[in-house]
Order: sequence, then C-alpha cells, then structure tokens
Amino acid sequence: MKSTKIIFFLSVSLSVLSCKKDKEEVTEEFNKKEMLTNYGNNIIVPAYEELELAISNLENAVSNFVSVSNSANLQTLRNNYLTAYLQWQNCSFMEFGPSENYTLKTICNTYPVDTSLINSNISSGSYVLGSASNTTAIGFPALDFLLFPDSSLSLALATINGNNAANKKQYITDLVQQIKAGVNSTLSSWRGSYLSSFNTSDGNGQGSSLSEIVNAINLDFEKFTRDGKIGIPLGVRSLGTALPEKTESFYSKNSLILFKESILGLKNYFNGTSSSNIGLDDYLNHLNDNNETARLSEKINNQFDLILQKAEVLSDPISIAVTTEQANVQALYDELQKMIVLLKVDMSSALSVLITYQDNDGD
Amino acid sequence: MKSIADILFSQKKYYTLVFFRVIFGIVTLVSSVRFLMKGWVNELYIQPSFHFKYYGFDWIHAVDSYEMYALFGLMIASSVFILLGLFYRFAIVLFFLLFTYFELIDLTNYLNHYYFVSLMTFVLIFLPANCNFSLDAKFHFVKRRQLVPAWTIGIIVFQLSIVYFYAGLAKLNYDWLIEANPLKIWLAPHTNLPLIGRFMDEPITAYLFSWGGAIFDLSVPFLLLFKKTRLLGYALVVLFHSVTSMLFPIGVFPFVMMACTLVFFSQNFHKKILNYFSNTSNFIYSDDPSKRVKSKSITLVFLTLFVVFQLLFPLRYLLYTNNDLFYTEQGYRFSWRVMLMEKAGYASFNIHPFGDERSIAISNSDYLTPQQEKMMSTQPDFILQYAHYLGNIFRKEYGDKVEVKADVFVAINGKPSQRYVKKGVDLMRIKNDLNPIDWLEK
Repeated sequence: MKSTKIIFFLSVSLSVLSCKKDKEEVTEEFNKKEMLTNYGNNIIVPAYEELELAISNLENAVSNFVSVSNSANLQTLRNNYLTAYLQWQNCSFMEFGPSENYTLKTICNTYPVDTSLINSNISSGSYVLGSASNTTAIGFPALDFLLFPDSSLSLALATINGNNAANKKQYITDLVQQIKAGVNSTLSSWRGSYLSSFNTSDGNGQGSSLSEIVNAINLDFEKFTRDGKIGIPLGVRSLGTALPEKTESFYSKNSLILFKESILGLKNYFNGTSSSNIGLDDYLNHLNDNNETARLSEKINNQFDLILQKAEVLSDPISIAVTTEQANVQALYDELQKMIVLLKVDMSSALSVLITYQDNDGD
Repeated sequence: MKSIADILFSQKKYYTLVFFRVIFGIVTLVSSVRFLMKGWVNELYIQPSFHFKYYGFDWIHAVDSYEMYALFGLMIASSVFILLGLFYRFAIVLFFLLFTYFELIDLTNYLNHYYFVSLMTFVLIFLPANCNFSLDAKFHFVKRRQLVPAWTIGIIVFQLSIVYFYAGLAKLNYDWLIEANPLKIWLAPHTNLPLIGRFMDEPITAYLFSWGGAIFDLSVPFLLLFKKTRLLGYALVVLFHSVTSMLFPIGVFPFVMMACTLVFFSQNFHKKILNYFSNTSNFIYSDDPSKRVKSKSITLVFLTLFVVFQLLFPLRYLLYTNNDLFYTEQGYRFSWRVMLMEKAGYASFNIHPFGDERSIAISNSDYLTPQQEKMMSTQPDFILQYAHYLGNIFRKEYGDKVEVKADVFVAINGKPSQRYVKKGVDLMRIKNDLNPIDWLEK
C-alpha cells in the first residue's frame, strides 16, 4: 500500500503545482487545425492553381507557336515556359497525397533528360509519355531541351523548324498536355475530398498532415535541392569532377533563378506566408518554449537567408559556375547541408514527426 | 530451516504455468501473424540489400525469400503447437530458435520487447508447461501432472518484474525527471486527442506522465505480487499500456504486457479461466515428485546463473567510465530502456577512394531502407558498420587506400543538434568492438 500512498501523494502535489502554474502564466494556445487549414486553403491549393494557370498559358503559347512558328511566338512560348517552371519550384516540396499519387514531380521535373531518347521519340513519332521508360524524356526538362537548342532565338527557331518539325511540335504539345493532366488531376483531388481530410488530420503519426508536410520538405530538400540542383552538378558524387550537363534547365541556363525561386518558395512555405500566416515557424515557437539560445524557427530562417546570400554571389548559371567558381558553389552546398541538419534533425525532432517512410513498431 | 531452495521446489498446482503457456501461445501467434500480414517479412528481411549485425552474430544471415517465408510459417505453426501443448518441447525450442534468428538478422529491428519474447521462450523451454491442459497430456506423450515446482512460475514472474523495474530504474535520470523530456516533446503534438488533448502540450502533463511512468514501472511488480494491491496494480498496467498504445506507435507490445502480467494473479483465477475451456477436474493425475528431486542442484545452479545474468547484464553500461549513455549508447540495448529518449540524427558519408581530398558523396537511400537509415543516423555501432560496408564496396574498385568519412549530427531530447562523429575521422581505421568509443565529439 506504500506505493499507492506515494502515487497519491505525488498526484496531489503535482495537481497543486499545476493549478499554481495555470494562474501564473497563460499558455498561448496553438491551433494546429488553423495551421493546416492555412496550408491547405491558402498555400497549397493556390500554388497548384497558379501552376494550372501558368500551364494553361503555356498551352496557348504552344498552340500559337505550332500554328505560326515565328520568333515572336517562340519568345512568348519560352517566357511562358519559364513562368510555369518557376511556379513549379513552389510546388516541388508539396509532393504528398494527390501529387504523390499522380507522381507529379516525376512528370514535371526529372533531369537530366535523355536527349537521344527524346530525339528517337520524335523521329519515330510513336511513344507513350507516361511509360516508365520515358521518365527521362518528359516534363520541363524535355521542354528545356527542345525550346533551347540554341541560345540565339533565330538559330533556335531554325532548328525547331528544321528536321522533323511537325513531330517536334507535336512532341512539345504532348509534353505540355502531360504536365497539364498531372496538375489538373492533382488539383481536382485537392479540391475534392483531400483538402478537408488534410485540414483536419491534425495528429503527428504516419500519414498525418504534419508528417506529410515535413517528410515531403525533407525529401525534396535533400534529394532535389541539395543533390539535384547543386551537389551532383558540383561533382560531390564524382570525385569533384563537375557535371554541368546534369544541371536543372541546362539548355535554357535558368538554373540559378529556378534555384533561388525554390529556396524562397520553401522559406515562405515554412513560414506559412499567406493572409493568415500561421506556419511551421509558429508551431515550432509554440513547442520550443525552453529555448536556451536562438529559437529554431529563427535559425532556420537565418539559414534560408544565408543560402540565398551564397546564391547571390554566383554568376548565372550554375552549370557554368560549377567549373568557373567552384569554391562559391561548394560554399552554397555546405549551407544547404547545414539546413538539412536543421530541418531533418532539429525540426523533425521538435515536431516529433517520424522521419521514415516505412511502417514499423517502435518501443 | 526453510531455505530458498525449499520455497523454489515447493509444489504448486499446474494452473498458473499452463495458463501462461496458453496466453503466451496466443500472444506469439497473433503478433507473428500480424507481422506477416503487414508485409514486414519482405520489408525487413528480404528487401534490404544489407543488414546490420549484432555484435558477435555476424554469422547470422538472411536466407532467400522463399526460405524466409517458409521459416516464418514454421514459426507461426510452432506457436500454434505451443498454444495447444502438442509436441511442446520440440515446438518451443523451434519457436525460440526461429524467433531469435529473425531478431538477429538485422540490428535495425531491435526492440526491447522482442528481446523479452526471446528470453521468455528460452525460459519456457525448461518449464513443464505442457504437463496438463495440453494435447501432449491428452495423448499421453507426457505424464499428466497436477503439481509443478514453484520456481517454474517464479521465474516467469521474476522475468516480468525485471522488465518493469529496470525500465523504471532507467527513467531515474536528469532529463526524464527534471526536464520531463522526451515526454515534453512526444506529448505536445497530441493536442488532437479527445478530452485530454488540450492538456497535452502543457509542461505539467509531461511531468505528470514522466513521474507517473517512473513510479509505475518501479512499483508495479510489487503491487502485482501482493494480493491486497494486485487489482490496483493490474488496473494500472491496463491504464499505462492503453495510454502508451494510444500515444505511441508501439504495435502489439502493450497487449503483450497486459496479457503476460495476468500470470501474477492467483492460481484459482487461472484455474477458472482454464475451466472455461475444459473442465480441469476431469483430468486424472499421476504425479511422481520423487523422480524430479535428483535434478534439484542443477536446476538451482542454472536458476542462479539466469537470475544473476538478468540482474547484472542491464547494468553493464557502468563498466564504461565517463560514459554518456544516451550519447554513446554503449550498453543501452538489452537493458529495458523503453521509450526513454528522443534522439534524431542525420548522417552523410563521403568516400575518399585515394585517401586524399577527392571524394564521392553517398546517397544513403541507395544502400539502406528508410528505417535502416533512421537507426543508423543516431547510433555509433550502426554508423561504423555502415561505413565499413561502404568502404569495402569501394575498395573492390579502388583498392586499400579508400577512406570513409562521415558528417553526423544528432539532437538528444530536444537539445540543439551537434556534430557527432569527429570531423575527418577515417572510419575504416576504427574497429567495431566493445571498447569505449573515442571517435565521437565530446
């Protein structure tokens, strides 16, 4: 009975303590559903809507170019292509739920492309873009290759209007249609039942909205931003030998603005930037009340800024910078590496989100 | 003088022991079938191209997929035989070997509760749990007995008590009691729970759970042991495990413990439950206690060894001086440290094929499953094994100059992340042994 008494004593003393504390400080409430609703309604769905709009402008530009293949129309097409590709950067880290089901990232942004596969698809004129074998021949990177055979507009126009012109234009049309279908499916899933279940799934277990958001950020940042955009072209996998041709948008040389857009987009996403502004940063501040030094949300925001600063130093594009100013790209890579530790270790731990894509028991 | 030996060898009715065999058979059957249904045989044993080894068990290997499924099926079948008490000794030995084999395949899958099941099946090998209420007894494969020596029940009770008590001892540390971590971190996200949700991110809740958990673990064996407090003890067991089951992804284990602790109840209780299935008073007994007396001293020696091992082995971390247990984790496993800390990490590896500056960055997902990568990122012995595995792959191509370096960062119990493995250390030069680790940042 002694232990029962101890338990009784402790529960009483702890409840006394708790009453006392309640009076002293009113803990600020954090409404997780409000945060998720902000992500769902004000950030994710609008981001895909903007992408949908950009794609539909791209689609119009393609059809105008196909009917009148002049340099003015090619220029419009290139502009619309870049606008859409930039908007994609704001969606890349949202790859869960509908976009994951439709493998939107694979459809939109698998690079480097296999140029001989694209050329053989074009010359044969028979292909299934959705097939697994064609993942390196589709999306923005394939458009990048086809719309920028040369940096000079007139030379590019000549190339496009050259051999296999009809097939080439058909291929460009099909690429845009494939992206459009993926984006539309994703968006209509979100507008359907997914949005309300996303906004209300406020646990932290596997499949909860928070876990989806955080895991998608981590996966995208590690594999696609650090490795894909910077690390691999820099040569971290190839003994320091730069691999410029593996850079994102290698042909149009837009790699640096795409990279900056992706970092800015993720920063806004982390901060839940919108009309209501409730994001992961606020949730971290709410959870992290016993901070000894700087708040984690501040560290992460500072790191975003540092990454952007290191990117500012570079001269456009990354595919050239990896050979001409390797040290600067390396410095950028090092900051990305530090960010992964903040996101994957500190943030995930603070949010108590399991960083694993595998179902298993723990103890 | 009534010695301990006299108490251990005093005769008890068979009900409790047999009840435990049935309960344990059900528990192992249900959890192995669940394991299979979840696809984990494939995911944890067959899919990974590399398995982390237990120290001293490098020789345990996964077999190919058909054999793996066959062995797993055999294990499930043997749990049915345990439950029925048919060919019991054979079945329990088989189950012990197979279960332990599966656990030893990959260190990634280590769970204290799997260790508990392995130990419990090992103990059950030596107990006459099929002496009654079993098909063995019905078919006269064994003599039906009414009495069993008290130690056969005592050892089960002891093993369960050790699990709780040592889990409680492990909680008596600064982070747990004073900082209420990791529970502060783990409870806060659960504000979505009905009724209690709004209290979950209050620090006081974390303190209540931390202290409550520690007191529960330390006291529950005693509460269960004495008749007066037994019901209270069991009610706490149910409460404790229900709450942990609700809050944490810990699968079947809360139910395993709720089922196993029923063994603390009186033999009359166990008799009633057994009678529910088959009227035990119809059994005819042929007890022959004299025959068993001969093995008393051997039994005593083995019992003592087992008990001493159970008491001391979880304390082996004390052999390491200046050992920050949560940091190095030397002596952390096999010590009933259950849900004790929040440790997150990130590890990236660079291969230096020529032993100079030039390097190749490794993408861990090319070599490890997500679960393996997660476990590897925070535990030194995993980091070392993985580094050696990578190094040996690259040595085939580049020769003996290959060096493996790692940038590892960990955060423990919500403190800011810090560098873990010393910068620039060539992990190929570090031996994977039980010596104190000197290649981590201090």
